[in-house]
Amino acid sequence: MKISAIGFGGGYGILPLMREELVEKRKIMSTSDFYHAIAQAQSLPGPIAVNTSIFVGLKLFGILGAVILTFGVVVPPFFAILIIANLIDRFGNLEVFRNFLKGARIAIVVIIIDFAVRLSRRNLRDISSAVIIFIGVLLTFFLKIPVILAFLITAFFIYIVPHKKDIKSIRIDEK
Amino acid sequence: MNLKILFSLFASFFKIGFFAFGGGYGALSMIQDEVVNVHKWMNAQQFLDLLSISQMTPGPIAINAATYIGCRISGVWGAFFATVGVVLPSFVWVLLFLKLLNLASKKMDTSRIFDTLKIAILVPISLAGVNLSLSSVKNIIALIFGAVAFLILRFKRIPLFWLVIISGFAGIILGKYL
Repeated sequence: MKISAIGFGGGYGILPLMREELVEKRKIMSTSDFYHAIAQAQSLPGPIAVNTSIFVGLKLFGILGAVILTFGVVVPPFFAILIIANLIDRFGNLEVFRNFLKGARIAIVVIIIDFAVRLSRRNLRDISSAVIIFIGVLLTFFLKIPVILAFLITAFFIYIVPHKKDIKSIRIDEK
Repeated sequence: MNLKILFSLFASFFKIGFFAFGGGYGALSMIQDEVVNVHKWMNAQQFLDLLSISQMTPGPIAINAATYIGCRISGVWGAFFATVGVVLPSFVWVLLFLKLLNLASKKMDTSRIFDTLKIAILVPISLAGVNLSLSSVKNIIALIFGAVAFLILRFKRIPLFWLVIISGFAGIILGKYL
């Protein structure tokens, strides 16, 4: 519970707190086990914090542990959001608040673009995948395909198109 | 309380949770499509405001967004069903993953499938980036604002929470011009 209540700033903000609580304070888990859980959690869909708590809970206490730990991560923000939604209903029309959101909006867009940049630097290693992604984005944007469908079709094409190796190794081959 | 709306909230968010490779931001791009384009529950501006609020509230951003959207559309029960909907698939995936790992890891290359999906998620995420920029950056001042924020984030890696707060205060100062 404590973990999420103070976990400002999304999933990656919560993980260090979880580590502190589980590994350092209570010593119910080793550091390497914890990082292993995070690595697995990242490869699966869904918020990292939730996936990690499910992995950790399962490992330590079985299914029930997974459910309880997830509750711990989800419940405090749930009530925080309900309270905030209520406050916004009352004060949301203030000029100051609306201007605040105008600025914050831009930050959110920047965060999403930055995330896309980091993700492509980390995972996108060959030209053919990059081209497929680019075509996918263009087609989905102009044809208004539902994104989940577009996502699956793109994944399918990336999977079947034979992968050239790293961009760097191609250059070496050409020489 | 409208059961039909509650059900479609749950179904939408379950679908989102199920395909949200790449973590919370993967989910956001799908939430945007589902909520703004498909169901038209809110417009792009309202969606962005909600994301700002979700980013500033403790907890995973995708879950905060689900709770907030549910709450806006159908009150406390809406919040409940949207939140459960987005969290439940994680359980399905983890349990499935552990089973698959035991059964199939020797026979087929499961990691290649997951790697592929992690790359393909760039399509929804880039789209969200494009769509949301189009609806929030409307003039040259907003563009400069965004560029500065982007450079700060690229080179200084300040916590996202603070980026949102600082931009918010900049918004108060620049109010009329954005």
